[in-house]
Amino acid sequence: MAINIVVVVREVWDTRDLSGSVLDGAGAVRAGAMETRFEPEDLNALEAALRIKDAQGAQVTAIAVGETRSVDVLRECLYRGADKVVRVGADPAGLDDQALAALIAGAIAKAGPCDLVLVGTAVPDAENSLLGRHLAAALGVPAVSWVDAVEEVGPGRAVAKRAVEMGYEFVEVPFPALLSMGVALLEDDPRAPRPAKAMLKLKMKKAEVPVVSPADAGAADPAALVAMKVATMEAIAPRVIESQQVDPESEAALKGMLDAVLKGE
Amino acid sequence: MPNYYTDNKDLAFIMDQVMDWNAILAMKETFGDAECPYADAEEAKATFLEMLRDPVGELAANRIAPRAEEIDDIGCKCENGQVIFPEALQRNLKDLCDAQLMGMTIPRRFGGLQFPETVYTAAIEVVSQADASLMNFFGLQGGIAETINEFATEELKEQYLPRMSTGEFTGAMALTEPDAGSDLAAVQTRAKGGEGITAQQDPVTGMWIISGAKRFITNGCGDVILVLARSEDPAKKGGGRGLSFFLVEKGPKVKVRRIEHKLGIHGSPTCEIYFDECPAYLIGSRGMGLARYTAWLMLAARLAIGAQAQGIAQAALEEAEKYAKEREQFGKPIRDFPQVAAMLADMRMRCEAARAVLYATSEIVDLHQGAEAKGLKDETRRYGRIAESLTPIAKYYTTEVANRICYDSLQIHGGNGFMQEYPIERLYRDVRITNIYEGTSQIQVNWAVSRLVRGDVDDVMDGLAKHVFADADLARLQGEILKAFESYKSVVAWLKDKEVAFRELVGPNVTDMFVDIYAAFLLLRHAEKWEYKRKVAARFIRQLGPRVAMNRDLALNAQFDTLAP
Amino acid sequence: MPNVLVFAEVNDGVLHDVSLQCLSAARQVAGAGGRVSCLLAGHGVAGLAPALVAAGADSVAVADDERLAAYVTAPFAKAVGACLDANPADLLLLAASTVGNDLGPAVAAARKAACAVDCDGVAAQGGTISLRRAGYDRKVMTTFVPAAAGLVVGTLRDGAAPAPAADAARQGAIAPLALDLTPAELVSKVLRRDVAKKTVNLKDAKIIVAAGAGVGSPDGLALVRELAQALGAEIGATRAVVDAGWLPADHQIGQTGATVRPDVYLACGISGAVQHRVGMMDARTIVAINSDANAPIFKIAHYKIVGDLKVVVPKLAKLLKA
Ligand SMILES: Cc1cc2nc3c(=O)[nH]c(=O)nc-3n(C[C@H](O)[C@H](O)[C@H](O)COP(=O)(O)OP(=O)(O)OC[C@H]3O[C@@H](n4cnc5c(N)ncnc54)[C@H](O)[C@@H]3O)c2cc1C
Ligand SMILES: Cc1cc2nc3c(=O)[nH]c(=O)nc-3n(C[C@H](O)[C@H](O)[C@H](O)COP(=O)(O)OP(=O)(O)OC[C@H]3O[C@@H](n4cnc5c(N)ncnc54)[C@H](O)[C@@H]3O)c2cc1C
Repeated sequence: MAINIVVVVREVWDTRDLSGSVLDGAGAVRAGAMETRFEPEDLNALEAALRIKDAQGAQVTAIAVGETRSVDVLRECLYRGADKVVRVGADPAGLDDQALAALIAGAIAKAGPCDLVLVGTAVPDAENSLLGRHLAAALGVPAVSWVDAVEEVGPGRAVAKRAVEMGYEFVEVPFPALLSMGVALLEDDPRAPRPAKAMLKLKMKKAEVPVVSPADAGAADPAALVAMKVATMEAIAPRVIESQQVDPESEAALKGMLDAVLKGE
Repeated sequence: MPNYYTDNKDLAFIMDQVMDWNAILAMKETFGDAECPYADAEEAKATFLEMLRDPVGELAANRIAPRAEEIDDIGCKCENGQVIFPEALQRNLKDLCDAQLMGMTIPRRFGGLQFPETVYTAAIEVVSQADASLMNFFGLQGGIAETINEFATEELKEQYLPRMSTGEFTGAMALTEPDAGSDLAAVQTRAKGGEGITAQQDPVTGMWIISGAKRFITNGCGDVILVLARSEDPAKKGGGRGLSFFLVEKGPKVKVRRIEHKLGIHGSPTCEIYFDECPAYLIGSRGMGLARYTAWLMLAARLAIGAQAQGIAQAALEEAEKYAKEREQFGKPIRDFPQVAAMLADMRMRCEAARAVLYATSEIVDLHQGAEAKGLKDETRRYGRIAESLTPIAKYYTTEVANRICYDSLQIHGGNGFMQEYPIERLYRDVRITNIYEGTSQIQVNWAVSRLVRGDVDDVMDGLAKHVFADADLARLQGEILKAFESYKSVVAWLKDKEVAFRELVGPNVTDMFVDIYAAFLLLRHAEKWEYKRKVAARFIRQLGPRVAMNRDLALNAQFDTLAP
Repeated sequence: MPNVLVFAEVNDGVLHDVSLQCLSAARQVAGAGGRVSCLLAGHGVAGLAPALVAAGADSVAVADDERLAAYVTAPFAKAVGACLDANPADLLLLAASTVGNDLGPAVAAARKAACAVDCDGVAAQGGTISLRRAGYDRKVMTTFVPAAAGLVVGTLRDGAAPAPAADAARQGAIAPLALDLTPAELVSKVLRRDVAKKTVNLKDAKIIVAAGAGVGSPDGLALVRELAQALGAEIGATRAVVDAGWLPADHQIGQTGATVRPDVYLACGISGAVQHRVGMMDARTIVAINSDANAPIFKIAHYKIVGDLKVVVPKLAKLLKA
């Protein structure tokens, strides 16, 4: 029987190629100056869900909180083959993962039965890496973090390949369960998540995205659920490194470098 | 993550700012129709550009490009008549099918996307930048499907087009034979006759029987093969008039005898196939195989090859720019040396000039197709005339420019460029086929020169010449082009009463003059919309005068010589 | 003064060194008036309790139970919960490991506590506990504080606090912790582990030569190995190299590998992904060899060699042997 999978997807700031600082003079994020992207590990989570769907059939539902800034992550899910999407109509700004998890858990409950919830672990250098844990608690389901691949699915259970220091563990969890996905696509090829499907994109570009209000999700005042708040944000001064180019063709330059390095200069 | 569409600023600019989508869409879509998926031209345009970003640009950069080296290394094999693709190529094909991109121009009613040629051309460029050889599946599909859609019966369309849309079926076109290359009127493959050639259909199935060998057939192991074959009695209807066009489905009677071992595009099997009394469907009317259907197919395919070359040129250009920045000699990056800097600037300039011509041509092809579909007689005739002239010119220009860019890019790589470790080595080999197949550059020039002398694109050029630039700098540059244009016109007038053989002799000079001037006009128009293009146009036009003068002098002084000691 | 609970993580019978760093952070936060307790959970781990006392714990609760032999969230979270119920704490500290970053948030979620992971520091001022953590590709340092009174949970990165000096003379109470697990808490099972045994000691190495995917093959790796030998260095690796099977997992440096601070770090064919950088960026001198002049690793390298490692690495080895 086809299982039901929910994927939680987020639109996040893209600070990779940002020149200039993330923060303005007042220590707030310069929203106007930054681009956003589909959280890469959420994209991996979606890919994992769609692979399960390809292999054995599944109903895949994507859920996001808040309005789109520039990348409509829910529509991107539809373009790739998600069956359903749900937007939680709340502004995620100022909410911590505890509050977000309450909203999402409510939306999942409303969306119907669910066997597996997938969410990106998110590399700790980005935001939000607690969402999976909080969501599992809010749903009251077992969870596995740092999952790189879903090894087996069903009946009634999944086996997750979880990254740990020095290797992997294979963890079995009964449905319903939540998996926080990591880099996920470790196979040699393809390393990248799938692109959109053109016909589907044509069909879905105007598809209606249903919105669930915070009240309907059972958290009318999500701000009241916030446990952790930001006190200050400060720019980290870029490390100034005295760096020099060494010409690989020149033995003298290489020798000079080795001498300097080994002498501890 | 890289994206071969959005990262290619020039292509994105042309798609977003230069293409006249309103005109194309006015011809190709009926907004408000239940069947039309767009509310208006703006939405349609946005959809096209979005599709070029994802899936096309995403797929090309993140899945196809990383596999190119492996596919080139392993290549295709042929064992017992079975063509075996490298695994990475199979993945590419699956990815293209999964992304639902195999039927980009096929009508929606047959499961395709029904996109304009311009979008398809851009997609071919992007895919070819990642792996030129893959284009021979992705870019061949369109021309073949479009030919079926244009000329085959409704039953055949229903039988084949849906499966070509999904990519379940790929196509091939079987024209060339050992003794019929550039000269296709010499085709020998026979369509059923017993003794002599008394063409007749099978009275029961309505099918024809084809026998004979075809050589150099790209993807000859494909599922749907369009075949040019002799159906008429040579005594009554010889040469090209005796040829008809057929559709053959892959089966036991289509034998792949071998595949070629070749310089480049290793990911594209080039097959020798033998039709062993093979059943075939006739497409269109008898005797029109070469003049109408092959000509039509070739026109579509030539645009595709132009886009393939353009993609390779872009890849080679980027490799050169990257290498010249990283490689240091005499204590600085080599791009800081005047000669290398000039080469890089010329490469980029030429690449953008070729792209300008390519998409101006694709736009005309779209307008022509649209006018034909809408039954607009005058427009069909006008756009058809222009498209038939510009397509061979665009194919000639993009493929020759791409060869030049790969040559220069390899040069910039120095000794490393000669080594297999660097992608330019593959690009240099792959680009070499582009100005040979689908008609060699010489054949394109022959087509072009007769039409240029006849004045088939005069109205286009006059329109460009009369454009009024508000900006003084651009107006001044336009003045420079107009001087060259006068010079070109005088040569064309002088050629009017010359023999065909002489016109063909000076064909390269005339075509070069024309395309240089045409590209200069286009670049100048682009400069109205993007500040950066002023520099490109200015550099191009600075070189234009001397080049046109040289070509004029060479043409005026040309002579037939055969040199042998 | 706040009371602090530290979760002592044990891997293959060895205390996680970041757990010990957590103890020294806890001691500092607790000051003179606060109590630092410790939970030691696992199977066959009881013998490690005195080491925790020596490292600064005032008391150690030992949950030694065969059901805790492999890490799964629910039973461990139950153990931490039991500890907190018995001895309420203001702050729970864990190592920012794959275990800590799973367990900490799980406890926080269950108790609706404030939580931050991968922190670079923890402080207590005027009764408020704050956690500091870098975000946005390490471009911003954010300080978090709890929205309301109650437990705060934080996981600390390697190096966020100094290793404690062991004092064998310290006294502390060591007591067993009984665990009452329901079937619902035992539904997740570790079926199989595919974890390497440690064979190298990267942490104490003065010189590390690290290989990235740029080595291309075991042959390429052999060149790097030769250079390491010539330098008397240990060999490190990126996850790409470990995933390719060219080196065992204990050579991995980075977020899910070791964090190292050698005098010299020689990166060969490493792009410098942030997950790798966090594990090595504090090396005193960084030399990078990469054919791509735009590789991010060059942004933190003191010596940049743009070139093919297959050429450069043997050259260096030859120069050293000469
Ligand atoms: C890799 C590859 C894939 C191919 N794929 C296909 C395919 O899918 N289907 C298909 O049908 N064919 C295919 N071909 C064949 C290709 O189209 C022909 O090779 C091409 O048209 C040239 O024909 P030829 O090789 O016989 O050269 P020739 O016609 O013998 O030409 C030799 C030289 O003479 C010149 N020349 C010939 N005639 C003239 C003239 N009138 N004026 C001036 N110069 C002239 C040519 O420019 C060339 O320089 C493929 C070829 C290759 C190499
Ligand atoms: C949750 C999570 C945890 C992770 N944990 C870790 C971790 O602990 N440690 C870790 O390392 N990674 C970790 N990663 C993976 C990390 O994101 C990168 O994928 C990985 O570090 C890349 O390894 P690399 O630099 O070897 O490979 P690549 O990124 O593929 O880089 C190879 C480099 O080699 C260069 N190169 C190629 N050929 C040559 C040549 N002939 N000469 C010179 N240079 C050449 C290339 O230019 C390129 O820069 C983690 C990822 C995630 C999401």
